[in-house]
Amino acid sequence: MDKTEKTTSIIQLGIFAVIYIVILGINAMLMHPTPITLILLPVTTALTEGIVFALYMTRVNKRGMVFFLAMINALLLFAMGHTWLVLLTGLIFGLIGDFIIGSGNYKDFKTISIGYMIFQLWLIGIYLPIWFSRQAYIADLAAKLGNEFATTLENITPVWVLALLVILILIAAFIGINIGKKVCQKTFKKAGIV
Amino acid sequence: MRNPDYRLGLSIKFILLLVSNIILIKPPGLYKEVIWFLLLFILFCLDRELSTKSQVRFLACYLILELLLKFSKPLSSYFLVRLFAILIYLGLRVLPSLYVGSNIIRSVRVDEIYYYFDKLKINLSYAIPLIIFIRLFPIAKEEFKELIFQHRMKNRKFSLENLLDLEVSLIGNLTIMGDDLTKAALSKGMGYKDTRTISFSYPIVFLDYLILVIILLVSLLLVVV
Repeated sequence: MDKTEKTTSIIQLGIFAVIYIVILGINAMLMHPTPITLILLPVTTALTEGIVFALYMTRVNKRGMVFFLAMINALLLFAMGHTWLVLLTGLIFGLIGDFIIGSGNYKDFKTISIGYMIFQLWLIGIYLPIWFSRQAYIADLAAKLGNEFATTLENITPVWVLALLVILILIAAFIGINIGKKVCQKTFKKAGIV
Repeated sequence: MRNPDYRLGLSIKFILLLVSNIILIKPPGLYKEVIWFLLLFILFCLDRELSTKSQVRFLACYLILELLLKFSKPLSSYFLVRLFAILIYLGLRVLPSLYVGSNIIRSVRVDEIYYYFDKLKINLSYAIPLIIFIRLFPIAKEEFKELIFQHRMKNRKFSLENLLDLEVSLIGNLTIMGDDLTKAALSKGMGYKDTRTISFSYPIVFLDYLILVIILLVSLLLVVV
C-alpha cells in the first residue's frame, strides 16, 4: 500500500468515525429519558448506523478498518466515562466483525451483513455493568438520575434481558444494513457519493 | 501568524480538556462542585473571545442551573422534572468539556495544528487524518443545525420517515465535506509545507504558571480522592 492510499484509508476511517459518533450521539439524546428506552439504545443505534456502515463499506477495502472503527468509538465512550468493558467488547466484536467482512474481501454483501451484526454487539459493553457489577452501577445511577429511575432499571433488567438485547441488536443490525444497502443504491449513488 | 491576543496555550487548553473530562467521569460531591466551579471560572475568565459581561452571565447561568438541579432532586418522581434534571445535568457536566474542545478547535487554525505536528516530527499520514477528524466535529454540528432549520422551514413533522431523510442528508453531506477536506489535504492545500520565514514564540508568564499549578492540583485531588 503506498503512502497516499494509506493516508486516504485512515482519513476515511476518521470521517466515518465522526459520522458514527454523531449518529450515536443523536440516538443517545433521544433514548436517554426513560429506563426502557435507555436499555434499547444499542438496538436503535444498530438500526440507524446501518446506513453509515453500508456507505463505509463502499469506501474501504483494507484489513483492520472495521476493527479500528469499533476501537475509536469504544475509546471515545471510555473517555466519556463508560467502563473498560466497552473497550473489551469493542476489541472482541471489532476483531470478529473485521475477520468476517474481510473473508468476503469487503465486497460480498452476505459477509458484510453478518459482520455488521457481530460488529454492532460492541455497544452492549455500555450496559454490561448492569449485570456484572450491578450494585455499584445502580448506586451510581441513583446518585445521578434519582432513586426511582435506578430502581425501575433494576426491575426491568433480569439476566435474560441481556440475551434478549443481543437478539434484538442482531435483528436491528440486519434490518439496518439492508436499509443502508438500499439507501446506498438509491440515494447515495444518484448523489455521486458511492 | 498567531493572533497577538493569544494567551491560553494549546497545551494548557488540552490539559483543561483532560481535567474537565476527569471531573465528568468522577461522581460529583459538594466539594467537587466547588472545584468544578473554580475550573469553569478559570476557563471562562481566560477566554479572550468573551467579554467580561458574557463571562459573568455564563457563570451566573451555571450557578442557577446548579441550584435548579439541587431543587429538582426531591421531585425526581415526575417524568418532566426528571427530564429537566437530565438536561441540566448534561448542561453542567458535558457542555463545559465540549466547550473547551470546541474552543481548541475554533482558536487554533488548521495550518497551526499542521505546523505543530510537523515540528513534533509526527508522520503526516497520521497527522492529516487526525486534523480532518478534529475539524469534522464542528462541521457536523453546523450541518445538523442547518438541516433542522431546513426541516422547520418546510413545516415538516418529526415522523420516522422524515427522521430517516434527515439522517441520510446528514450522512451524505458529511461524507461530501470529508471528501473535500481530504482533497484539500492531499493536494497540499492544508497548512504550510514550506519553511516559515517568520515565527513567534511566546514565553510562559506568571499567569500561565498559575493556571498550570491550579489545574495540576485539581487533577491530582480528583484522581487521588
